[in-house]
Amino acid sequence: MLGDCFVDMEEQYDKIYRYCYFRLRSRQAAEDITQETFLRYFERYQCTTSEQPLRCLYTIARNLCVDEYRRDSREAAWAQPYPYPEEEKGEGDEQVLTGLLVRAAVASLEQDEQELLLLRYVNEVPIQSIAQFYGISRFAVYRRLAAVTKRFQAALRKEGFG
Amino acid sequence: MRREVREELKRVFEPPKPQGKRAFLRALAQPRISILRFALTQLGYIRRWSWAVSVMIFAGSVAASVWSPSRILGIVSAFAPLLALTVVTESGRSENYEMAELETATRFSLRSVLLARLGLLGLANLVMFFLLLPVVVWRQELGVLRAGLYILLPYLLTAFAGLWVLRRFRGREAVYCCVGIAACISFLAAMLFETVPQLYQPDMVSWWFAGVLAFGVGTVRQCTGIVRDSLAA
Repeated sequence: MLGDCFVDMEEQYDKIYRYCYFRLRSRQAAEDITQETFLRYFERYQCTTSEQPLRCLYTIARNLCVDEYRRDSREAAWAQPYPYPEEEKGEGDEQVLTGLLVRAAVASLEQDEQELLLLRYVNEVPIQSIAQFYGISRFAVYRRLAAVTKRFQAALRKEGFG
Repeated sequence: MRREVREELKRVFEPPKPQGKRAFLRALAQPRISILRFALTQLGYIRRWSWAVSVMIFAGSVAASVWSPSRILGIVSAFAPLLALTVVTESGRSENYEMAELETATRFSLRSVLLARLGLLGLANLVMFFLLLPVVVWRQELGVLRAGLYILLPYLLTAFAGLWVLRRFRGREAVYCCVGIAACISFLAAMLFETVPQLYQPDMVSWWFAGVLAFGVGTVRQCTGIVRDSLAA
């Protein structure tokens, strides 16, 4: 774990990069901020911190992304579509269709709702760390997550999924 | 949420492949850690029985000073080899349990780990000697220097002989050999105190001093040899 100094750096790098890309929609900027996040984490907290490492990493990343918005006026960046992964190109029609439906359902959500889906279901951040990241209770996270999931599934049904 | 939807979510949020990841992870230095903190982490890996033996020896010496004050020096100098044994066996532990490769593969070198553990145990023993010394001085009516020499000589002799054995022999046999040496020196120290009191006269102090110096240097050389061996392993 990060808190024990023996960082699973590669895994966390990918997740923080994914989060930064979600916020910025720019590969170069997301990568720069991911690297800056790790440098700041080690510089500030090192191994002596009693803070939760995931909370620290995501908080640093979020703050750096906000700084980046201010510098480059990227406020609307999150609304830009994600590129299609290369692997998807040669897949069956059904999976491509599912992908399109899920994309459309995600796009219908607000940014903070998308962010919660990303943190919980894609980056698999524990509920406790999400609660610390947002500064709310675990029960509040459960409630918000349930509400977002419900909206997402409703959007999926509206798109004709399942 | 259905599994296929979750999988699809991961694909939806998949960013383009990062390009500088490998170079960054290679270049990123591991977080620094202070010597004190490193030593404290090693504290937890020293076996409990090592601490238990030290505490028992300390308690036994204090009890002896109450029940048999005239023999306190003999008792403490007989216990000293057992204290040295805890240091000796700790230094050979990674070899005995074939942990050397594992330890060298982790963040800190085996050399640092060995040095930290030997240092910690040596420091703990030193503290114990300092605590026991006034009791011995008071009960035996000796000078601090003489009392210190009488206790240190069997300790250093055991440490030197034990480390010498550990450097030359491998496995559990080496540990059993160290235990035998410690027991012999302990017995010898107790016997000499009872049967050859001339050895403890003031005119013999120079011999004790020479012995402490010789075995002290020998112990330090054996410790550095063990550390050097760990590098070559």
